[in-house]
Amino acid sequence: MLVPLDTRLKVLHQVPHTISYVIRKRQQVDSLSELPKEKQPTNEILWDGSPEDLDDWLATVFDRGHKTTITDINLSEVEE
Amino acid sequence: MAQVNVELNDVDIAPLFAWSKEFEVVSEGKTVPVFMRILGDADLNRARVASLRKSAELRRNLKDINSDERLAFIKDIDDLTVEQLVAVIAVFSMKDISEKAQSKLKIKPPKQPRSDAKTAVHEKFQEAVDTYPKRRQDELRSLLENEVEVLKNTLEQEPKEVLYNKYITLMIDEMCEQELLREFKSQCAYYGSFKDSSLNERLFSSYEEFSNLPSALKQEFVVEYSKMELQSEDLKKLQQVMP
Repeated sequence: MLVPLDTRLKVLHQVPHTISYVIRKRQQVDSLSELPKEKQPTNEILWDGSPEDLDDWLATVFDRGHKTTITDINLSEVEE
Repeated sequence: MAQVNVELNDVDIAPLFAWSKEFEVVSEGKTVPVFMRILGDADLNRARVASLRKSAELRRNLKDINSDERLAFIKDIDDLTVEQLVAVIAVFSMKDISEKAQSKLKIKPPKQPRSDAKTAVHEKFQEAVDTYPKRRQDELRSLLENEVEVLKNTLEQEPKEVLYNKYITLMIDEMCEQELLREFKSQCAYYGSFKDSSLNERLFSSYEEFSNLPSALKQEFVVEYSKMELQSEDLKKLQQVMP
């Protein structure tokens, strides 16, 4: 946590929420930029949208309409 | 109506690291040093939860037609004319109207040219960036005026009782939101104040101790905290320029 932040911060709970927000947002931006360009969320969703807007976008571009339910799992294969 | 700025060249990340400071307050004739810091995630969440509880308490009281709060803040239907009700509802609906107007905006932020584009193209882009806030605000103002007019016309057709119920709902929402913000700021100032420069020993033994300070003194803490805290728009701006 000390690099490249602030040497005054010795433990995680001391990190100001402003800095932790920037870290989390940076991680999110980095992760999403790994996606192919056409699947990356728009700037509006990324910066001004709610977490649900982002979830909806990802669900749409990855066609996650189909949800796994218990009936999809073949129980005979779970414990063999 | 806040201006939206797309200029990214004036970003300075230094404020992100100015997360603590020292100042003095005068209490009962004595000068007291205060060490203040921006809250971490855990304390911020405590502040958020406490303010939600406070806002919920006010909402309960305002909904109780016999409570002191209800009698003090919600006017009786006979004390309000239709015109007054329409005006108040329009004011309290501004947030929703503004969101609706923003969703209808046609203006788009200027698109950054390729890095190897000609200087003239970069100059044009910078000019578009510089004029964007005003152009956006002009379009938004015009949309807002239209939306307010449409709302007022719709409201004027409604019976007084319907308007009065809307007034109560909006009034309670508005008051609770203000209460939430006020309490959140106070909680942040309380959790963020320390006796020592190493920021280990809290200045106040409990929130009640902080809450019982004279209003002017309490406000000093709140103002000092808000001066230090970066707003979410600034934080987003800081993020966008990181390569």
